[in-house]
Amino acid sequence: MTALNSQKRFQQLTHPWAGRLYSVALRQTSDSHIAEDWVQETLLRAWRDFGQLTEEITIYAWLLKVLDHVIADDVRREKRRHQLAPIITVEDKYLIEHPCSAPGPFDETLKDQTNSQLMDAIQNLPDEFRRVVLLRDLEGLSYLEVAYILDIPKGTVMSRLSRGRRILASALLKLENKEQKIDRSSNIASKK
Amino acid sequence: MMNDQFDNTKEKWTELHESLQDLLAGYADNELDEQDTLIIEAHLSGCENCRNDLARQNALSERLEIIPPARITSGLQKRIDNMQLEESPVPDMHLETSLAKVLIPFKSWFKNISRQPVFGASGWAFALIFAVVISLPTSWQTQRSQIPMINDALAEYHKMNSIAFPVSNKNTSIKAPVNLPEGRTLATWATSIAGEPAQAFAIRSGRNIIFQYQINETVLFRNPEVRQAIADFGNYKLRSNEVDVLALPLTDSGVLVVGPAKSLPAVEKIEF
Repeated sequence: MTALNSQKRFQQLTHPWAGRLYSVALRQTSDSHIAEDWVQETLLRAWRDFGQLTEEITIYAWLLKVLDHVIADDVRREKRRHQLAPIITVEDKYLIEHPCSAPGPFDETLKDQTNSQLMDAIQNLPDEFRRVVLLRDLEGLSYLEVAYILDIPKGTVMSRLSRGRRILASALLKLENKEQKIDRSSNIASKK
Repeated sequence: MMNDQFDNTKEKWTELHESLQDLLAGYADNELDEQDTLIIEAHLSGCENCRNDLARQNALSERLEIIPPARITSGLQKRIDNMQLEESPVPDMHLETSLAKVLIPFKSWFKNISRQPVFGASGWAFALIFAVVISLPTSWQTQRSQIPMINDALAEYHKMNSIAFPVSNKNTSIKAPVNLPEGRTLATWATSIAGEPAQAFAIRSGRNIIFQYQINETVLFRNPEVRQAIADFGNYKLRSNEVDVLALPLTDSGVLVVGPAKSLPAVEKIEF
């Protein structure tokens, strides 16, 4: 295979995924230019490491792994690494006491949230939980694929996902509380 | 004495309750092995807090799944198209073999499935496959879809089917991905499915108008339910308000076939 052919093959295999990579990148920064830079850097690194592709790896999972490293090098600095992740149990105050935490009302709460509100809540998750939630719940990847991309055991994917969704649920309930308070105060203000 | 025993049991229960909370996502996503599933189910039956947490996890997961992906910007597309790659970073031979072996698992599952009738053309294997094929028509899903690509295809089908679309002869060079019996392409147009570009075809087949959407593989395999159905049966089917949707993998893309209920040909009769 000539150099030109291998370039062409690389482009054929990777370019169809550029849109999805951009979408995943944009979920981790609000700046579209940064997301674009990450995608370009991902493709350049992917080309550099093209020989490491093996038959066990799917192109998309492999590209996501490269993207994850690109983002890590760019933004995941020391402060994030030392950020203490909160441990929320099923006995968390909001999850137990909030009137909307029961299954039916919680579904309604979720329906009321716009996509961008949900994305904001995901952005605010501690890094290790955010990445797992993004890959599993938004990208629809299997636990094995997520484990491969993030270089963590499958059991860790499961525990981070359990905790990440719990933190997210609690955060959304808090948000619901705030919105209700704002609604109430604006009602009072309009009555006055 | 009794009190000690009670405290001990309670302590053990609390310990188990805390450790099982990390498995709840796995249970919600059907990623647990049989033994853990049994333990979780036994615990769930007596623990309301965990049951509620599980319900919230399911709800969250379903809600997040339908957030559409962002579209690539034209600026980035240009940057990628113009990207200068340096010389091949790997020896040619290695590249060729590694590339030849790059597998997209879904594709290989599908290939394995479609090969089965060849290898098992006699005896029990054949009977088994035959039984699966026979059972296929009953596997139509009837619930409302939460899958963006299906929703987009259905929405456009309803919209376009209620207006008269022009009969175009200009695009006869673009062939619909699936050949339908007595099928004639009436029109084809570019559209968007689940946030990605797609090509739509309106085809008259007998008395029915059937739509086909050629979509890219990413969109087709995005939803785990669809992925599993394609792995198990080679296709995904859904019936919604008297409209049938059939999702099929092609060589390097996918197709959604949409038409009035019961108007779509049996999968085994479809020619690609």
